[in-house]
Amino acid sequence: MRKIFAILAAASIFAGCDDNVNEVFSDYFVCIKDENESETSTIKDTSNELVMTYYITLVAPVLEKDVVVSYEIVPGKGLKEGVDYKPVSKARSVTLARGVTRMPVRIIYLKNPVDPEADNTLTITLTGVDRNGITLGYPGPASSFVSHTVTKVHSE
Amino acid sequence: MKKNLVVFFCAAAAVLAGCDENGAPELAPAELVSVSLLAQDNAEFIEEDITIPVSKSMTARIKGGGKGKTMVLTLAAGQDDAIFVEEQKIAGGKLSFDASLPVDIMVKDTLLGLSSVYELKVKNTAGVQIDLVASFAEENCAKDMSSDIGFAVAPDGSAYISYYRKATVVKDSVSTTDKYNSLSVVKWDGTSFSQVGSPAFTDASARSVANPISMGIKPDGTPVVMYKGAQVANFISVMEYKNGKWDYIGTSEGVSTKFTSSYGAPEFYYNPKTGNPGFFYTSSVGSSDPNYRNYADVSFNGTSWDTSYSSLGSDYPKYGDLGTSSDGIFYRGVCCNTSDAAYAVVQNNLYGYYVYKMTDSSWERIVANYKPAGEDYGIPTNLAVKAGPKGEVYVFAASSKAATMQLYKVNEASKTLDLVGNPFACTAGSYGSIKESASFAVSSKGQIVSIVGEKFYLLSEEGQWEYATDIAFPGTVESDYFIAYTSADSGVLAVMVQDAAKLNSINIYKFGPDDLD
Repeated sequence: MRKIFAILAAASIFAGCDDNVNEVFSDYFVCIKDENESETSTIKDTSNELVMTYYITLVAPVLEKDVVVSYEIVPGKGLKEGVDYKPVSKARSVTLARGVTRMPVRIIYLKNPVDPEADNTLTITLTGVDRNGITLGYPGPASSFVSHTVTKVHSE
Repeated sequence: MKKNLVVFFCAAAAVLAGCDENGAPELAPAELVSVSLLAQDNAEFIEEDITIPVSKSMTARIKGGGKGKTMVLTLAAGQDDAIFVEEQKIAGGKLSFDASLPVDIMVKDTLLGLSSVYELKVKNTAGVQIDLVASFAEENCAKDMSSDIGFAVAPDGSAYISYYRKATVVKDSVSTTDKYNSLSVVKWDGTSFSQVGSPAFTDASARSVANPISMGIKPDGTPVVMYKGAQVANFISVMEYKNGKWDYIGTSEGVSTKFTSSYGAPEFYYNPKTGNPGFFYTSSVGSSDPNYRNYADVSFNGTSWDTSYSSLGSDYPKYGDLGTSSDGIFYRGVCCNTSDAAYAVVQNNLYGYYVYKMTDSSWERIVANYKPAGEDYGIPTNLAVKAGPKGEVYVFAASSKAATMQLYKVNEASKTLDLVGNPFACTAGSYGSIKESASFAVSSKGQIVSIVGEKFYLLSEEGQWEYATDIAFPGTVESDYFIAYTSADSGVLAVMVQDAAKLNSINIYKFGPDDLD
C-alpha cells in the first residue's frame, strides 16, 4: 500500500514541474531555449572552444514512456561546421526519460572570423516527436520556441 | 477535480514517502545523493577533496578549470537508483570523464521507472592575486595609532586614510607622549604614502579625537573627514581638505549632539542636487530615558548644518513602539551614492532593514522593515551599502539568528532586498552581532568581492561566492577591512595592523581577480 502511494505521489511530484506553464497551456509540448531561456542569442567570432548549451524541454505530466525529440542544426551560408562550430553530439535527437523534463543540446563554437555581410546564423529546430499529442514549440500559431537561432557576430 | 487529486497525492507523498517502514527518512525517486572529486583519484589536478553541492546544475571549480583534463567523479545515488552517463551505467560509483565539457548524469529509479538528469561543469577557480604593497606608520606614532581608520577612494584612484594618533618623542632619554589624540590623514597614490595636510591637524589642546572616524570624497573630489571629539567632546566635527589645508565645513563647534558611538562609524552621503555632505548618527535627543536612541540626519545646506530627527518619515520605527525596553533603538545608518541618488540603509533594534533613496533632497522609502525569512537582525555589525556600475545598490548585512553575513541587492520595484549568492557562515557574537569582520566592494564591471574573516571571496558568474584565498596579514588586524575598486578597477584593501611589538601600521594591499574561465 505504501509503495502504491509512493508511486502515485512521485507521479504527482513530477507532474508539478513546469506547473506555471501548464496553467497557461493545456496541450503538451516541447520547446528549445538557451540558458537564458531565450529564442535567440549571439556569440562573438573570437570565442574559442566555447561550449554553449540549449535545452529541449518537455512540458507535460509524467508519461508512460520515454519521449524522443528529434532536431536539426542548420547553419547560414556564413558558417561551416568544423570551422565555426561543432555539435558535441553526433545524434540529432534527445531522449527524455520518464520523469526528465529537459535535455541539453551542446555546441562548441570555434574561433573564426565571420563576414559581417553573410548569414552567420545557426538554427536549432525541433523537427519531430516520437508520439502523437505533443506539439513542437509553444501551442498556438506562433509556435514560439520551436527553434533557437544563434548569430555569430564579428568582434575586433 | 484533477488538481485536487494532485494536491491530495502530493500531500500524501509528503507524509508517507517521507519515512520508510522503520520511520527513517527516504529519498525522492531517482535522486543523486553525493558528488565529489576526490584528491586520491585526481591527484594531478587537486590537492583536497571537493564536495560538490548536489543540484540539477552543478559547478566544480579547480585551478585552471577542466579543459583538457580527464578526471574521476565519485557519485552516489539513492536506494534502487542507477546512474547512467551517455547511456552507460556507472559501476562502483566512479566516472572517468572529459572535464572539458559538461557531463550529464542521469539517475534512474529502477523500481518506479522514473529518471532525473543532473549537469556538472568543471570550471576555473576564482583566482585572485592579493599582495601587500605598502605599510605606513606616522613618525613616532606607531605605538599610538588608532585601531579604527576611515577610508575613501578618490576619482583619481588615490586612497585616503584617516586615523587618530599620539606621538611619543624621546629627547635626552626622556620620553614624552602627547596628552591627547589628534587626527591625521594620509594618501596612497598607488606608489607611495604622503601626508594630506599637516599631521595631527585637529586641535587636541582640550579633547581627544576618538573613534569613530570616517573619510569621504565629495562629488567634486574634495576629501572630507568626520571624527568625534577634539573641539567639542563627543560631538562630531567635519572638515574638508581644500587649498592645501583642512578647514571645518560650516562650523568648528561640532555638528552633532552627544554622539553614541557604539554601533559603528557614520558614513557620508552627498546630496544628489548640491553635492553637500550629510550623515546619520545615533542620538539621545528627544527623551531622558537612558535607553532612548533615535537617528539624527545631519546635512550641510551650504552655510550651516541642519539636523533632522524625522527626515525618514513619521512611520519610521520609534523607540518603545513594540512595548519592550529596547525596541526601536536606532543602531546605524550606512550610506552610498550612485551617479544620481543617495541611498541610506538604516536599522533599529527588533526591526528589519530600511532602505531610503534621495534624489531631490528628501528621503523616499524604498524598503521597509525587511526581514528575510522573518529573522531579527540584532546589532548591525558589518552593515554596508555600495553602488554598482549601473546604479544598482547592494547591501551587506548580518542575520543574527542564522549567524551569517549575506549580500542583498535592493529591488526597488518589489521593495525588497534580494539575496545575492549564498550566505557566509559566521560566528554569532553578543546581542545578535557577528564576530567576523566583513566587507565588500563592486568593480566598474560589476565584479563583487568580499572579505569575511580574513578570507577573500569572489562572486562567480553563477551567483555563488567562491573562496579565492586567505589573506596573510603581518599581525593582528585591528580595524575593519576597507576594500574598494579605483576607477581603473584596481582593487585596494586597507587595514590597521598591530605587530607582535604592539606597533600599529596602515597596510595597503592590491588585489586583482582573474577571469573565472
